[in-house]
Amino acid sequence: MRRLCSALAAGTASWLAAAQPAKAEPDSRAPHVLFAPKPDARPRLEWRFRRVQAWELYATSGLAIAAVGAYAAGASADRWKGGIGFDDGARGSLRPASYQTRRSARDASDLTLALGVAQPMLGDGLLTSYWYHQSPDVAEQVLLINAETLAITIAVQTSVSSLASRERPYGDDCGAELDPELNDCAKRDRYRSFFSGHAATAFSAASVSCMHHLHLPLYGGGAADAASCAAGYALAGATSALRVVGDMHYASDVAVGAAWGTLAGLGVPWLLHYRHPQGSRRGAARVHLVPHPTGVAIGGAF
Amino acid sequence: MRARVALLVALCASAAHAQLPAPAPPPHDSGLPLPSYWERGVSRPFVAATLELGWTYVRPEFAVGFGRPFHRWMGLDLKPIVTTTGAGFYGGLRGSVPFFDLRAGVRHFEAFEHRLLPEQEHHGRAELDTPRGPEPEAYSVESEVSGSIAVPGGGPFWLAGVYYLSNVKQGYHLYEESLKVIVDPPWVFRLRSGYAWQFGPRDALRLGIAEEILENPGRPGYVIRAGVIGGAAIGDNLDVQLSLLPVIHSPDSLGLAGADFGHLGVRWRWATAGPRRRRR
Repeated sequence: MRRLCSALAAGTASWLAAAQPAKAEPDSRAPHVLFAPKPDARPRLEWRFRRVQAWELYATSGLAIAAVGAYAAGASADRWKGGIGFDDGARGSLRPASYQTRRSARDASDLTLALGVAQPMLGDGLLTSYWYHQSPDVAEQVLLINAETLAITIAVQTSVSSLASRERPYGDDCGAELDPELNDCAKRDRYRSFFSGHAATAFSAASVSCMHHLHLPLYGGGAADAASCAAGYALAGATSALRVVGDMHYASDVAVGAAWGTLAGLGVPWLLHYRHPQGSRRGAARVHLVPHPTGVAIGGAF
Repeated sequence: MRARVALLVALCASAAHAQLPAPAPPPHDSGLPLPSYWERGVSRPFVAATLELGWTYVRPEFAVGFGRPFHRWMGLDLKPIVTTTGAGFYGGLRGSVPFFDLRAGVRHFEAFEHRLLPEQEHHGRAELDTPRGPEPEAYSVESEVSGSIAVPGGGPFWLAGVYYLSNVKQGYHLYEESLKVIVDPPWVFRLRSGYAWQFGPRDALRLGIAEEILENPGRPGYVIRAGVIGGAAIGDNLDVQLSLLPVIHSPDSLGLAGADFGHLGVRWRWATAGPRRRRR
């Protein structure tokens, strides 16, 4: 018993020592502000994981260009139409009767998506890391990880929606309840139902924000960080539901979008950064371009 | 760091533009008095730039003038406007002293999605979203004056604007992309007021309420909006901004297209020969 107690005491002491904030040293890149919080009033925030590499910046740029290209390429009409499984039942019970109400739901989903993306970008990156913790280094890593995560999320979503070219649910009403000249009916965006970009982006933003809060004491650790995580997912859930209410997506579009967004939002930061603490032998991810008789192959070790 | 931030800015902008239609940002500031290091330094001829990156707009602004930029100055103000719903420009004269700002100029905006609307008492969102009328080619000659009163812990602020819209075909109404309101040209008047509280470490955070009323003599009734505005000064020349004023009363039913969702993003400011940074 005594041995157990001393082991517990030693463990607690070492945990407490490890949990002590490092001695604050001035960061030459800290924001020069007249109105910064007092330096000793906040816990020291340091980046202790693998940093964003140059190849990730190139890949992120490529993904952003691919996303724009896939969107510009447009979608085809009459490739995929109608609901599957629970889609029609969900649409029947959630879709409001009036166009004005459905349009309001779409507006609300735009607003909740904007707030959801602002959470990791403005909240975690600029306000908390850069300004409150006075840590430009952490802010830079957080913002770049957000960018690469959202870039891969959106690049895959725009590519799949172009290829799948599923007609949005309201397509049934074009020429009947809806004027065929309405922008929604006349434009190619009508055929981008699968899968939901709003759901994917909202869940990706919520997930990457959660990963930051899990690994960095942005709000001091504990309940506040957990609450931020929960709020992000609540906002993402609301965004997704409003897309179905607004008749912009079938429930299956939103479910796949939410799944992909969550996977990308948790997977990208973890695979490339948070599972590689600094000093770990696993820390160095490598990507190789290998010339091939028929082209170029890409390989990597993560 | 700068190169990475620039890349990040470009990526976010391109990704955001791939996703959502962007509202044209309003031609005014959020109305909040921002704590600024720009009041230091000396009066001089200068060139200044502001870049606003938000959801989902990129709005650069250039100024050439004399004085202390962003604080006490007068000169020329130029703003190209590019969004996914249209493109345009604003150019004019501007004079600014602490707690008071006056500008007057000309604005033109080419809308990609919206057309002129046949005259009628009430317009709905479906009508606005159906491009059936002639293309708008309107110019706005406008002037805005704004100010604030600093009291401990915050203070009231206000803005008054007059807009003269020309080059709109007879018999049509115009959806004014910056004011977010359907008008019967030529005159529109606007009055905004509110109160912002400052709090947090050294009062760097600001949150407030605002309401505004828009009057168009050619149409019945007023447009009234009310909502929240906020911001945070996170650096000498960098701040986060938020404003959302949904419609409370209007002759039309436009949803978010009638609301002033002017800011959700960051603003970065730069000027030639800026004041020295304070070392901590």
